[in-house]
Amino acid sequence: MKKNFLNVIALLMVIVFSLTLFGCDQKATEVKEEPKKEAKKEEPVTITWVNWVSTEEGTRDKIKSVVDQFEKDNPNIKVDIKPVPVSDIQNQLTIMVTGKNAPDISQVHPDDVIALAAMGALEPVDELLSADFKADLHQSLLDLTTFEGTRYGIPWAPAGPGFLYNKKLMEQAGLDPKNPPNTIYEFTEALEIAKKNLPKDVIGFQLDTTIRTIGLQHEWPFMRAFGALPIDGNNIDIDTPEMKEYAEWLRTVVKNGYTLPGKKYGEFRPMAAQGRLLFAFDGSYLRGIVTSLNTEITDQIFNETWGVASLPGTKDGKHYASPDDHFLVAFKDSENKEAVAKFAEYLVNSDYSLKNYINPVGFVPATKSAIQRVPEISQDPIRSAFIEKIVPTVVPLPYGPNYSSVATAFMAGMQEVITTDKPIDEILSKLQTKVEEASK
Amino acid sequence: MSTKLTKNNGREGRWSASSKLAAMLIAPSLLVMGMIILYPLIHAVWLSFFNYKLTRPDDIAFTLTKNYLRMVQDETFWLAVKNTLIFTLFTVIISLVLGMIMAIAIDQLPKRFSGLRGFILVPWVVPGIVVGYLFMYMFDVEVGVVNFILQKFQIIQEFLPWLMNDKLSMIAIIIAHIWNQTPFYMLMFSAGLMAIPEDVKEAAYVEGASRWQEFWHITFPYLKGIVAITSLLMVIRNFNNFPIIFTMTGGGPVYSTTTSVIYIYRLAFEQYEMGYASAVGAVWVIVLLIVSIFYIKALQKDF
Amino acid sequence: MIKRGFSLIWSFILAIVLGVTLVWTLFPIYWMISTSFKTNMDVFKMPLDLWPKEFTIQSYINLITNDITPIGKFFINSVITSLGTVLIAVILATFAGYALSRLNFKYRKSILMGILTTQMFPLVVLLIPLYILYVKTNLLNTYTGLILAFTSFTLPFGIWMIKGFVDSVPVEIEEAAMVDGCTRFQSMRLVVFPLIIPGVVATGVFAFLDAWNNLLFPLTLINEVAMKTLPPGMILAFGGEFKHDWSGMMAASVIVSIPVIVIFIVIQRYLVQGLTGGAVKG
Repeated sequence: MKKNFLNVIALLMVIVFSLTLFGCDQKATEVKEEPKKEAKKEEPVTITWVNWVSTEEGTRDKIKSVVDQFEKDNPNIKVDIKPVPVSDIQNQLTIMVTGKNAPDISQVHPDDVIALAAMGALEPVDELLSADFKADLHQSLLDLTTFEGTRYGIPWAPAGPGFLYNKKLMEQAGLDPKNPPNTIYEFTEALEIAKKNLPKDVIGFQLDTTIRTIGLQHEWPFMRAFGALPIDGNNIDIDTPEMKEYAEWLRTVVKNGYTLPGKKYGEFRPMAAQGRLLFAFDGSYLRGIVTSLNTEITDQIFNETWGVASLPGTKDGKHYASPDDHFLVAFKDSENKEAVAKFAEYLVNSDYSLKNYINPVGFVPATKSAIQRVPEISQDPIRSAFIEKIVPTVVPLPYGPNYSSVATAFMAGMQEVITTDKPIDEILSKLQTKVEEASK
Repeated sequence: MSTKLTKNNGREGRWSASSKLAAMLIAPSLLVMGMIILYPLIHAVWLSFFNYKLTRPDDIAFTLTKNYLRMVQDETFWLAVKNTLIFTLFTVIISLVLGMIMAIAIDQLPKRFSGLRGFILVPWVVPGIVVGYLFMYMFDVEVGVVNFILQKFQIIQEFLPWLMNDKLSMIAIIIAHIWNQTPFYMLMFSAGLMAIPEDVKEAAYVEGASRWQEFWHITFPYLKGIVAITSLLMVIRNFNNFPIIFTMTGGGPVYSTTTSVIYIYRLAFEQYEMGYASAVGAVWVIVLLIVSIFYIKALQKDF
Repeated sequence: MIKRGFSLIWSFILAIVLGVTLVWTLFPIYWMISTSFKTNMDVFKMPLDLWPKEFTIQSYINLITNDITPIGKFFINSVITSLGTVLIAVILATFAGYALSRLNFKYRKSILMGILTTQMFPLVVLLIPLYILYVKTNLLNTYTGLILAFTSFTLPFGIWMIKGFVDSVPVEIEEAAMVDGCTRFQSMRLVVFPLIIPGVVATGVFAFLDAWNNLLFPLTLINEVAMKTLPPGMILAFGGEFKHDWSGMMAASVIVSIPVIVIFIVIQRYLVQGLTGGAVKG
């Protein structure tokens, strides 16, 4: 019987292989047809755009209007939006690239840019973009996504999380809304007071404790506030007194119910919209999302309710923020790079996009000329505060080709801190080896 | 069984004709399964011998044993194996007991209540992703009805972070699976109970057997075969179970609800370790094949 | 006939068991339906309301009118792929099941066992090679691709079920038909097929359930939003930063569950028969 079974497998393999050959044949004939399509320049081209802003309530209608307008202005280009949830973006793009099925252009995080560049999937921006546009972009943003000396990312909507505090709730808690916590210690103290004085359903602060690269980006400024620098380039230094202090703090804030464990940071936004989040750590676009979630909150009410400050800093008052800038990348295999460049430039820098997307959602524009062309942008108190208090404190994250493995391994350890009773020392020393392994 | 006809057909002349017909009839099925299951499986085994990370396409190398050796030392792999065993064991045993109790209770009911069975079966057809989302919602730390009810009955003081605690999360996913699977056992046992001849039960009663004795000496022996086959089938199913855990916890917190299958998915789609994920997959296929052999043996013995 | 009577205690125990069973089984479903008619504000309000204070179908309206995650389209895709799977799986399984039951040929037993074991393979292992294969064969983002994938995983069960049913049809009937001049194919179609209809229906229903509920295949093999089926569509709609939309999530759950529950209740009788007649006896 064993032998028979092997025979059957052999037979099936023959069938299967003939099948795949057939598949290849098909592909081969098709490649021949493609140049014909290219020859007719008049024919409208379709570019596929993977993004996550189309999956989120606060942004999807606005981005749709920008795309519609782009198609109207460029009748020979059609944009096919492929919405992918933000947490799946790297995953989906990696699979698509592996299957030689990459889109033309995608919205990504800065760390995704490096990962995709390391895969050899991206088109360098220096060849893609016009010189004028490149010169108009903030150079620090453009340089953020350099991999092996080449720049791959097009900065679109700088959006690192800042510190937003709900003044009304602070007052209710007996805290001084004019004087938001300045150091991480004051911050913790404020949470303690608030927990005592505020209704039970108010959440102390927004913290992403998921095992995602976004989780690391969100927790990074807090780690820095305790003086910890767990990953610095190739140097991994997790088993330190500073990290221990951070981990103990993390365990305490979860145990005392100052924040909800295991939530994505986006999940705190409805709480902000319902007026039961005391401290938010979110992008300058929080207002756009809150007002669209709860239509009773107008921009004005939001501006009156929320204040912006630098993130809680170290003992000696040093503040840190992490970048979470939305980037665009063009894929190497795209056959319509001209159209891609045009579309990218339109998203980043056209008046229409600035007026109908960047400004109303609350992003900081990526180009220098934007503020002159669309003056509304600088009149917004929230955004001005971001530009003044958050942007200067941004420090880079330890991006690299292995960043996503390193970040997920590291965040798994942080989640272990809040979901188990294991001694912190043990968790950290084990984590040190795990992250070292992941970085190889 | 078909032995009779096949023997009749065993005569030389018709043998090849029926072989030809059989090939014609079976080939389409085998073709589809060969393409979707067998070919990718072989490809996966092939990949398991490579150092292959999707994010490093420039660094692919044949290694033969590296992935397999890594598995031996990989704590998470063993944790996933442990989780799979705990998860499967508890899910199968508890569902089995509950399913049997339900089947017996329903079997006792007058005929006109048998429509109840239809209702009780419903959880079994609810799609896995819905079960996952529903229980994620019910176990939520903030708005979950489970916490609410437990607090109402004063079993707990503060709301528990069911899905964010390394021990509670396993309990939560087991409960969700029990809810989903118990009806299947009930269905199988109901069928088994119906097959017990009335006169055997009658005889037991006349001879003065108690209900418990009747269950132990009459009902259970009749159900034994079904218990064996259903449990084995469900062990295999749960070894492969994906959607409920994936949507409820994603294998978390950390790795505390990561079963082998979830681990393979996380390796492949979170860390892009295609080579290593395939190696874990290959090992897991072998484990399943071994369990399947028991299953097939049980099938052949009992029926 | 002498039967055991119902003592008071036994009736009491029975009543409790059945009561607990019903609450245990139906409460989660009730909770799903009730939440789907709540406003999102109500969902967050403690203490929880067992029935929505403010009954609203807004969540359903939002789901249907949202063109970024078009649930109507997902629904149609699910229906097409599931019915396609039913059609192909039933035909293939009937042919193969018949052959494996009635005909004698080389490797019959090995094929039977081989088919059974394929049912045990973890689908996850196959995803990446399958994705690469689908790209090569242009099956990505197609109904055909999904139907093939669904079919291959429901076939083993179907083939065994049909085989079980054909086994239970007496050979003599068929032999008589063939003596009367029927060919093998005619006897299969005219004599055997009508007798195994419960098995065919059961196979079809299982194929439908398998296809309708499948998450992993469409999650990986479909990345075009307009081609997604309901399960990955739900992930798209609720797996992002906005997991908070509980009421919407439950409304989607209701929409995804209703067809399978309705079909199940309608065809329940066949299903029980199919399971007890076919699968168990293998």
